Amino acid sequence: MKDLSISSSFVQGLLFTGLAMVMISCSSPEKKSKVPRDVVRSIEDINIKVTKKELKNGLTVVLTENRKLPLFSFYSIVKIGSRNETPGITGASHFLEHMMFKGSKNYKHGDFEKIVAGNGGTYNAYTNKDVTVYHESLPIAALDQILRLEADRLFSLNIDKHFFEKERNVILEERKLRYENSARGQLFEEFFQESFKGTPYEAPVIGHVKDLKTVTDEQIKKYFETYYAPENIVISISGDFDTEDLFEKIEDYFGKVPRKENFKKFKAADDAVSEYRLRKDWGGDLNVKGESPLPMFVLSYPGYPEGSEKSYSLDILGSILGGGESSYLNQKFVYSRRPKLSSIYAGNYGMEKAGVFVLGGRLLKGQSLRSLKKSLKSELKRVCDRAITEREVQKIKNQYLVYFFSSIETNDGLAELTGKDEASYGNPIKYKSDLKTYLSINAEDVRKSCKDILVGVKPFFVTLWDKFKK
Amino acid sequence: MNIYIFLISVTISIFSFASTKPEKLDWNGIEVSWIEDDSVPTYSVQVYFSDGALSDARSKGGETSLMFSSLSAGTNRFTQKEIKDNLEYYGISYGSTVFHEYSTFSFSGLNKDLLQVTKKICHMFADSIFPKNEIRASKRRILSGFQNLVTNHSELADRALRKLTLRSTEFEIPMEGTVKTIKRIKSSDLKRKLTYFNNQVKKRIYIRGSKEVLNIKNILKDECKWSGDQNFARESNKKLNPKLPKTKIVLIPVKKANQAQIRFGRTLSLQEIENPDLLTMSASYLGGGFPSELVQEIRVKRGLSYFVRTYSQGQKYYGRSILSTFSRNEKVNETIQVAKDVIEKIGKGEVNEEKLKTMKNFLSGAHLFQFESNDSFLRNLMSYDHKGRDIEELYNFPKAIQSYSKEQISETIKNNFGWDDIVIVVVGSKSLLKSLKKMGSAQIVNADFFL
Repeated sequence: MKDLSISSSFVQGLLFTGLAMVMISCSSPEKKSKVPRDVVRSIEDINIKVTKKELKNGLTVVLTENRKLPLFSFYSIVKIGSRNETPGITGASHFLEHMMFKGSKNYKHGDFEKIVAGNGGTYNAYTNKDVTVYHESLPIAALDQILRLEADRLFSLNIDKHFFEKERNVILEERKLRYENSARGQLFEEFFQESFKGTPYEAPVIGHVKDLKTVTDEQIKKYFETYYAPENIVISISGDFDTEDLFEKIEDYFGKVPRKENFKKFKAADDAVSEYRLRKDWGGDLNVKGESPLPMFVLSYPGYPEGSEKSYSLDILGSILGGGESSYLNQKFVYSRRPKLSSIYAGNYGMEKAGVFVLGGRLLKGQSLRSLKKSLKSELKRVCDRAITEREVQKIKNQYLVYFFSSIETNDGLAELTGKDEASYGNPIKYKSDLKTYLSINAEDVRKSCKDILVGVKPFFVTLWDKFKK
Repeated sequence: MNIYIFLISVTISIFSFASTKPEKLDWNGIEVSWIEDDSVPTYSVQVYFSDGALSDARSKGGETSLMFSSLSAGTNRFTQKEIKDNLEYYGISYGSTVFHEYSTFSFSGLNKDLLQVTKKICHMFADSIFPKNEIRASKRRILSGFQNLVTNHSELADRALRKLTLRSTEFEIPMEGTVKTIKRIKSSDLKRKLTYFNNQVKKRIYIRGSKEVLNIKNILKDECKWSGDQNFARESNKKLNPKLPKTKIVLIPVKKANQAQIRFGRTLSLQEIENPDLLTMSASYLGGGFPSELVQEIRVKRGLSYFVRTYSQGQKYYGRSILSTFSRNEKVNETIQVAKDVIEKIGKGEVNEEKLKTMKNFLSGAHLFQFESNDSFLRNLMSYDHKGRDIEELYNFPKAIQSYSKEQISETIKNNFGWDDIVIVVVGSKSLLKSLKKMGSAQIVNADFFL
């Protein structure tokens, strides 16, 4: 299953420099739009029939009717990620994600794959710092079977010791692939540990090796029983169905599971904001020895969680600085007459409880790391005044719009968009106000955010290179 | 029970039916396939060129790829910065893909900017000068990328298998070139290459969008100056006769690896790719997802790897069969042995009826998803057109899949993945050589050889 913690969603997020945030950022005060009227109308006129319902047991269901083709996509979003893990069981959310395909009360090991594939479907899952997500796309004729299957594994998982041990090896191999044998993976693991030290975001999503080797099936079972509560899950389905009919079926399959007592209280304590405050001694250089013949680096500044008002303008800032070949830092360091880097990116990496603003790249052969650091730091001192113009802001807004329209073309895109909006903000059509907020931001707003986070703040500068001493 | 209904105002329906039969148009002799789609205020244009990296001289492999990727490097009127800024301002996605046999250039964006964007694209095609300093910088970035390949073991393994199975054929040099060939390419080569693609190479155009997208017809004719008179299409009739390595297994050593990437593969001749749907079916049965034979044996039953997948597919003139997996150092031999045993068992006719049925149903059902996105449907259509396949074959794919017998699957897997004909690449610790020799003849080849 995909582990979107660092090696995919993180990098992807950076490459899109905030585009993903179009779907999941939180609200900010409305401002007067300066975007052409026809574009605003296009957003206003998007006709997506989204219906939300909360079952008696607290499970939230979001349905999006799409009669284009006889297909559907199903998302189960469980509000549990690596930040919920305690020392000794790092990687438990992700381990559990693997075990969700190994059989449940009424389905034996192997049935899931047979049913999904046998009906012409595809499936996958991913875990990040905040959530665990399962998704399938199939022809509509298989909808009933998938409802039954999902309800069974979400609430009656069977963790078999034999398959648990097999999967432990598979996960250790996955870890080697993504982190230990990947220079990029190593760099991001170090960067996260340094930037989020002392917070629940510190540990890698896949977990520490020693924990993966020692965690028991009983611990994972307990973890499942604690967090896989109806109130902690959002189901989002998009496809060729009648909304009312489908609600009845969902009620039938998922509604019988009892509400978990005191879950809300428990979750509120688990999510205490104070736990997530970034370290006070932020900043400094960290050199990591790793197998990269040319230095790779990540530079980070304290940012804001995706729920904050400032996250929108930081998304735009990230795109202005490092999104696309014409972006400011790309032109300065990659496409200039005397390039120092082979690539650079920038982005606002916001999670539910905390965020960082990051820049990263890789040196060209023959370039000095010391000289790069010097010029990058001096460039960042003046970047807020030089890089941000109304034209640049408008450019990014245009890019976000194109990205948004392409993301709603398929059932998979729609189910994910509305499901994640619901899971994060309790509003499945949050994307509408998000788009409007992006379109209302001007250069001055971005400049202010830029100065807030970059000026006068010493960043973490994490570099990985095979020339470093261990 | 709380129920909230969200129904937003109705003017544009984003769920108009996908038109799966594109309209065919003739634009100044160029064949155009258009899918009308006004569900969202965006468009996409994909231009097909009937030639690709096969047009590159052996000593300058990567020329076509570099030409297309450098179209935004500068024209007589604008610098690279101005061109990129202008295109990115409109939020468009644009770029090229170069195969050996053909190339594509695509762009997509908001309807309101369509005409300005198309004019700028045509300006690049008509007026690119490939400034020397920009090309020098591009080459430097490409060479730096090659050097970093040793940090991506999976990509290195893919590249190595490709070279070893296509050596001494016209497909040997990768589309993106090698360290040696990239160094030799000059700005003047790229100008010549662009002139060739503009003036001689046959084009087809695939468009998705509302009626207004058709307004680009005259821009393509007058400013790109593309017409049906440009009608050269690359053909290849050379017999594939790759010079295979002397040993069965090639080990590419990388430092401090505690896991090894493993690839099996061989090239497929024209005859062997005559039935592409059978190739798809066979590769899926062998290693195309969880229910497949290899995933069950290697991942599920034995926990040897997180990933195993097989692929068998052809372009127009050649094909390849590939098995990709990885495993921890101490389990490399076991992983190879298990894969070998599974293939041999199937080759002897042991095809599991239930698994075959599952995989047939999977491919038949999943087929519908090819029509969910109009852009991906058009890409499929382009590929079918390139190979000279009738689009009806795409619609009839489920029927074809259901018709294959156990014997056909067994025979195809035996032929495409049979132990005697495949080459094995392992990227991992140097210390693996001793144990690999127990599996067959093995030698070390350094990564540089593949760059």
